[in-house]
Amino acid sequence: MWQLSSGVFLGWSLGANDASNVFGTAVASRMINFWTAAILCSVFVIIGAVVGGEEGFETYNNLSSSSVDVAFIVALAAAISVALMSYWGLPVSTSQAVVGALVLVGLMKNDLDTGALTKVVICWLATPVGAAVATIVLYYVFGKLMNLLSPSLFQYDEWLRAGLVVAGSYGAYALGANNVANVTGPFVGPGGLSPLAASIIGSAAIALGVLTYSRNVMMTVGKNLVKLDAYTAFIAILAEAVTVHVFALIGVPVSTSQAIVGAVLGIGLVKGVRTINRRTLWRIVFGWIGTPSISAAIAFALWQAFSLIGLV
Amino acid sequence: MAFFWKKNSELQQMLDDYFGQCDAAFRCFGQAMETFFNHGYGGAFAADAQACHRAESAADDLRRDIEMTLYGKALLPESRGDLLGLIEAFDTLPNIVETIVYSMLCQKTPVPEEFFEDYRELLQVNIEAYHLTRKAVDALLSNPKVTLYSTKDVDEKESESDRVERRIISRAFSSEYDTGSKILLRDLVLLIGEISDRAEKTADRIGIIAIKRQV
Repeated sequence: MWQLSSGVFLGWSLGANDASNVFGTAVASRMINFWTAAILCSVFVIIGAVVGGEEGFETYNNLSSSSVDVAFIVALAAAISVALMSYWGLPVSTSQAVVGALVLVGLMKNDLDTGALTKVVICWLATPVGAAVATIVLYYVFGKLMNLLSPSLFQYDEWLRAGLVVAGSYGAYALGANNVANVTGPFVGPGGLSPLAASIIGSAAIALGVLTYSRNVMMTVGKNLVKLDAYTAFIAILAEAVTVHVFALIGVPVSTSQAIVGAVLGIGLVKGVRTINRRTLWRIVFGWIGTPSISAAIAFALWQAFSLIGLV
Repeated sequence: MAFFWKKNSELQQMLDDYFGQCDAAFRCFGQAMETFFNHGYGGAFAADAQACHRAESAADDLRRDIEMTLYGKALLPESRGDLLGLIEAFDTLPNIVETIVYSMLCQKTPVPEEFFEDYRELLQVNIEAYHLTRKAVDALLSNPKVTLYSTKDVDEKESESDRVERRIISRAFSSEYDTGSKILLRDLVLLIGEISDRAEKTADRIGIIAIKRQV
C-alpha cells in the first residue's frame, strides 16, 4: 500500500508542526528541555491516538467518499503544505490542510458533503474562542489556588514544572486522539486500513515528526507570540489540551495550532493586549488562510496529474 | 523530576549557608563595634574586623557558587533571575559592614565618648533593619504571603535610621570639635546608615519578587 507513504509524510509534518502547540511554551520558557518534551509528546500522542482516535475517522469518511489513490492525493497535498509552513516556522492547522485538499477533491468529484463541512468549519471557529475562554477561566481558578497555597520560591518552580509536564502530556494525548484522523483518516474509508492500524501508523508518524523537526515551530509559538512566564505557559497548554480533548470526544479533528493561539491570546486578554506580538499574530493568521488554499492548489495539481495517467 | 528536586534541595542548602555567613558577618560587626565602645581601637577590634572580613569573604565565595550552580545546572528556570538579583542586592549588606569596620580601623575615626549612646542607637536600628530583611528573605523562601509585611517593617526602620542620622549629624556639627572631626563623625554616621538604605533596596526587590508570584 504505497499510497500510505503520503499519510506517513503528513503525520511527520503534523508532528513537526503541532508538538509546538503542546510543549512549545514550556520549552521556550525553559521549564522543560526540548528532548524531555519531544519524548513525552511522542509517547502520549501514540497513547491518545490508540485510545481515543477512532471518533475522528468517521467525520473524515463522511466528508467525501474516496479511493486509496484519492486519499494519497489528499494526504500528500496536506503534507506538502504543512511541511512548507513548518519550514517557515509557522504553526498551522493540519486539519485545515487536509480539509482544504478534501474539499477540492469533493468538488472535483461532485460529492462534497456540505453538512459535514459546515460542522467542521464551525468547530474550527469554536476552537480558538473556546481555548481563549478556557484560558481565562483556568487563569483565575489556578491563580486563586496559587495565592491560597502561597508556594515558596523553590516550590513555585517545582510545581509549575510538574504542571507543565502533566498539562503537556495531556495536550499530547488530546493531540493524538484528535489529530490522528487528519493523518490516516483518508485511508480508513477506502477500506485499506482498520481504525486501530490507522491510529498506530498515524501516531507513530506524528511521533517521528515531533522527534526530528519540531524545535523551530516550538520557538515561534513559545517565544514570539506573547511573552509567557511559566504560570501562563501552564495555563495556555492546559486550556488548549482541554479544548482539543473536548473536540476529540465530539469526533471533530480540530487544529491544536488554533487552540494554542486562542489560549495564548486569552492570556494576552487577561494581561492586557499590549503583550501580544501583532506581527507574529498576523503571520499565523496568514498561515491559517494560506494553508488550506495551498493544500487545495497542490491537491488540484496532483488530481490533474493523476487524471492524466488514469489513476483517478 | 526527582533529579531537579534533589538539585534544588542542594541549592537550598547553599543558600542557607550563604545567609548564615551574612549573619556571621553582622554578628562580628556588632561584636567589633561593642569592642570599640568598650576598649577602643586595640588588637581586639582588629581581630573582630578580621572575623567580619572572613565571614564576608566566605559569603562572596558561596554567592559565586550559587550563581554557577543556578546557571550551570539549569535550576529554577523561572525564578533564577529573581534569585540572582536578590542575592546581588543582599550581598551589599555584608559588604557595607566590612567597609565600616575597615574604614574605622584604617582611619582610627575618633568618636567622642559623649556620642557613644547615639552611635549605639544608630547601630541598633540598622542591625534591626538587616534582621528584618533576613526575615523577609526567609518568608520569600518559605511563605511569600508574609513577605510584604516584612518589607514594610524594613522601610520603617530605614526612616527611623534617617531620623537618628540627622540628629547625630546636627549634634556633631553643633559641637566644639574641629571641622575635620565633625566630617569624620558625619561620614561614619552615613556609612552606618547605609546599612538600612541597602536593606530597604533589598526589601523592595524581595517585595517585587513576591508580587510577581501573585496571580
